[in-house]
Amino acid sequence: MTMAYGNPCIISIDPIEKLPLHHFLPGERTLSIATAGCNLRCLYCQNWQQSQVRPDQLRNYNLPPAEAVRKAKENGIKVIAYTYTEPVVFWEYAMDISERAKSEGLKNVVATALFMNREPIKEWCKVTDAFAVALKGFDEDFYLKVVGAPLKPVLDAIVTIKGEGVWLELVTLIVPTLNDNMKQIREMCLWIRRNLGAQVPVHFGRFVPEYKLRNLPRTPVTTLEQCRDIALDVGLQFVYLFNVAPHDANHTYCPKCKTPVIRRLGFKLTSNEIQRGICPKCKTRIPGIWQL
Amino acid sequence: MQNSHSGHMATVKSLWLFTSLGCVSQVCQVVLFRELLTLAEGTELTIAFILGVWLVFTALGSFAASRFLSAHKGFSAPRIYALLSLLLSAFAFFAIWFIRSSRVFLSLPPGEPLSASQWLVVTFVALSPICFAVGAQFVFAASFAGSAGVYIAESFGAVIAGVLLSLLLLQFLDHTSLLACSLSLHLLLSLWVVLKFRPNASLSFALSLATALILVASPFVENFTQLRFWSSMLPSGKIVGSGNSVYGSVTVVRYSDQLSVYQSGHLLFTLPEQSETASLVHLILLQHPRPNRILLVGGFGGWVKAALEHPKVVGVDWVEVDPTVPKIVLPLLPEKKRVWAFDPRLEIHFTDGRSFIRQVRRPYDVIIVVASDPTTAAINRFFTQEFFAEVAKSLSPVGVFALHGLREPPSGFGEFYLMRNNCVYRTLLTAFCEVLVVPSSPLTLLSRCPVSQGEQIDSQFNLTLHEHTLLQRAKGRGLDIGGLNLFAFTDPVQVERVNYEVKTGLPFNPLEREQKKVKRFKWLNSDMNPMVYFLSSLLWLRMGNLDITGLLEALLMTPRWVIWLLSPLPLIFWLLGRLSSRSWLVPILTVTCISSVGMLAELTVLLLFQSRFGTLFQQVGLLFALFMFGLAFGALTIERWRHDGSVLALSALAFATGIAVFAWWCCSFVSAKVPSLLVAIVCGFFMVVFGGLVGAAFPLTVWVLKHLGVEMNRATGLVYSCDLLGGAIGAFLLGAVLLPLLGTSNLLWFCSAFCLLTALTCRLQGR
Repeated sequence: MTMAYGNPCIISIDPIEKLPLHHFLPGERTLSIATAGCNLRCLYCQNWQQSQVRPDQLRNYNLPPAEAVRKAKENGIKVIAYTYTEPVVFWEYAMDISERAKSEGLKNVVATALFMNREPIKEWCKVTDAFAVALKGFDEDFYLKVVGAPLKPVLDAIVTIKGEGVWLELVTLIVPTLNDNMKQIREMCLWIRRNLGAQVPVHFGRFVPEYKLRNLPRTPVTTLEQCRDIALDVGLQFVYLFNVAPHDANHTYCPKCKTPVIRRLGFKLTSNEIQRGICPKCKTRIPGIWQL
Repeated sequence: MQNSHSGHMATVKSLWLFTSLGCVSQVCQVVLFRELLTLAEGTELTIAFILGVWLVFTALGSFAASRFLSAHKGFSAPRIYALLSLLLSAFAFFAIWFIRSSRVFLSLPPGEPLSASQWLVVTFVALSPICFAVGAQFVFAASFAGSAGVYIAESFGAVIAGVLLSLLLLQFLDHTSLLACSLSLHLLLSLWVVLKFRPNASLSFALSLATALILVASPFVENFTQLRFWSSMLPSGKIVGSGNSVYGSVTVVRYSDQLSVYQSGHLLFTLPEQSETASLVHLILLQHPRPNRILLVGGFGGWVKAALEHPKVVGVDWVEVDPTVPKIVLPLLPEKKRVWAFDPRLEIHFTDGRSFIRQVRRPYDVIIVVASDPTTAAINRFFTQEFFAEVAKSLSPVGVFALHGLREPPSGFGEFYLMRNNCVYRTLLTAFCEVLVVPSSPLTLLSRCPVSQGEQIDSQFNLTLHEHTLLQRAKGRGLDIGGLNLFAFTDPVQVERVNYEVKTGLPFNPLEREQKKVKRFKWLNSDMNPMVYFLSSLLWLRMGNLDITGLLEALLMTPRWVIWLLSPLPLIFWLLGRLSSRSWLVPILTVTCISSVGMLAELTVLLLFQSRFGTLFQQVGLLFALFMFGLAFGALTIERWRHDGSVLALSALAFATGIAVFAWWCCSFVSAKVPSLLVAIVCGFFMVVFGGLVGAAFPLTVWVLKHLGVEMNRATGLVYSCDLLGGAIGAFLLGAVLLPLLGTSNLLWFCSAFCLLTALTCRLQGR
């Protein structure tokens, strides 16, 4: 049961590409909400000041679900995102906002590490339009020591979402010395291909030293490029790099003719040539949700 | 010549044997101080805390030794002195090993510094045995060599060590070698003491063996402990370069195709630089219509390179305080990656940025200062009213100033922690009419002066973060934007958020059309009222989850006049002394007062000196050496003065301290208007004066206590403890906490008055 119902510690308006979601309503702004807390304890958490504390240790906003939806509509925002910390710990709050938002024609997207049971995931899928799931690594030992939870439940949860037919993208923050083992990256990509399909977008992110791990260097770009090469080599069709810009891996390419159909500069959409989900050049279907 | 006051075994000729006590104490202090700062963020509070722990535990050691000597008269003091030297050596090497291995013990993940509570524990464990031994050694030495003589010798030893460290040794020797040299000297002189006063074969052998072991083992200890530290900090990284600098040891680690440069265990920067750095530099230069002459303070590598690549730039002056970093890093870069360092338009100046700006003759179009978060007095100098005024004078009429380095407090910390950045913003407004905040990480504050008469400003060159405008400007001057990501700094929501939060000190709610407009605190940050470094200390404590910030926040809200409620304290001590027949209470309070006020005054001299002349390690080291010289000189003067040991002499000393502090306040008040040479002489003079007053307090108080019937060893231990405790109070409570809260003037006034009241109390007692 959440201890932070109605009291987020972060309220922000962000580009949807920041979640990151690249195949869901590109260019839309989201109302991003987060409360304090997390059910994991990743040692390299970029938001640890909010995730590794109790709600009473922070100064929070007061935002009941009805108010959140009303304010989103007032500000012309069509997507509400549950992100930054871990929406699992404010699941009830997120669910209530999502139900209201859905009934009012808004979309709901979630960025989560998805360490939760299957049944609530299925409930969640009924009101959520897209998930950006953090698959932090592919080693049980790594997950237990660095993330603080076993890996298998996360993998099962990801497969559940796929089974429910909700749009899914995967995110892995690559942290120097912790999870940049290329053998494990390959195993992870193979698992994704086998269990989720080649068309699930995958994002490899660059770690930036801040606060807690501020003496660790940021991820080398060549390491990220290696991760991407491995993913493409394994057969995954949509592989992106985030926190690195400008870079060719920010763009979306048609899997068939390799034309860049969406161009991005970091989180900013600079052009979108997809027409009704189809490549303008070779007419290949590009998977994703491109319109409201 | 025999010491007529003490009648002890030592003669003046043998007092030089105890200079090594001062040497080793100074070296251990400097080395361990620097080692401890590799583990955590170096804020003014952490620096003061280390000094405070050092002084308190040294005081405890001397107190314990004096009690021991009083209770056990049969023990041979020279032998115990020598044994303590052996222990000191062991403790010092243990401390180095413990500090560098603490990350391993605590199983910290790579890159993570210690939390505040972990760091406190490590500091206690590493420092307390050494400090205890140093404090105890002093008392044992004093018992057979005379307290005043040993005090003087110790002070001279500290002066010599301080000067050698500042001017020479820190640049050429690593920390373990420094310890080894000073400890070997101390062991050898302790051996001499044993041979001279209480010969003992096995002790002599142990001392000789220890000396040899230390000298032989130190390189191995250095390598082993460094590897342990770096294998925990960055496993799989390869150390490809290192060097010693007065500002901290420099280590360059290669990880994949990146070079990461660390100073004192903290990541300075990584090469190649992110494209965001170049984007930010170009964004700054796009704020000026003709950025021909650029001054860059700090910002190795990517900043300089990007500035040189900007069209219209004709010359770049780059100021870097530490030549060691470029000297080590540049040869490690591939040739084509270091071409920028040899660009004929680039002039490099190795000096303090602030003193460079003060001497600028030709104005600059753009001045960029790349600073760290203002957590110490030294860094705070780049965020003060006086500095901003100096920058404004050094800019051309439409010149732009960019200050990069302020961190944002994490979301949810609340408005209290937003006050720090708001304070910097309002301080900037005292020198500039327009300030715009760039949502970089850390933040960049852009500022501009008003236009002088006769100059026309092109209205297209207002400060702006409008992406389209910036792209137009870039296109207009032929800047290739293909490799830039200006959107990282021009997202309208983020721009609105950071500008609101910095300019108001309130958290931003993006859902509210009308944001709150509430009057907040009107603090400004200045050289002598360094509010920002105190607020930074609170922020970093909060980020380290250390909960005493509630207490410090309460202090922030307390009215300034409350400190005057402490002024009856001397009278209370006098009354207590009378009621309990402990006549030594007032002298003890007096020596504590003089010592704490002396320490505070020393810190204020340093603040003023740094604000005027910059922070060059060698100069600061020399100033401290002057203080220590004064310490020795003051003790020597009292020793030679034929006084009757009455408390009235102590009253005179307290009175003199109060007057000196007041005189210093007067001088500091007018210092901005007098030539630099005179300021330097006055600073040096007052360092000697304050050192002399503190130095005189010790032997005088010992003699007063003896006159009041307190046994000599007990008196020595008690007075030395209080002397050091006073130093700790001066450093931590007065220097790190009250000085930024009250401001230098208010605090010096209070301290002067307190000293005068203490003098009055001594007079009451003397009657």
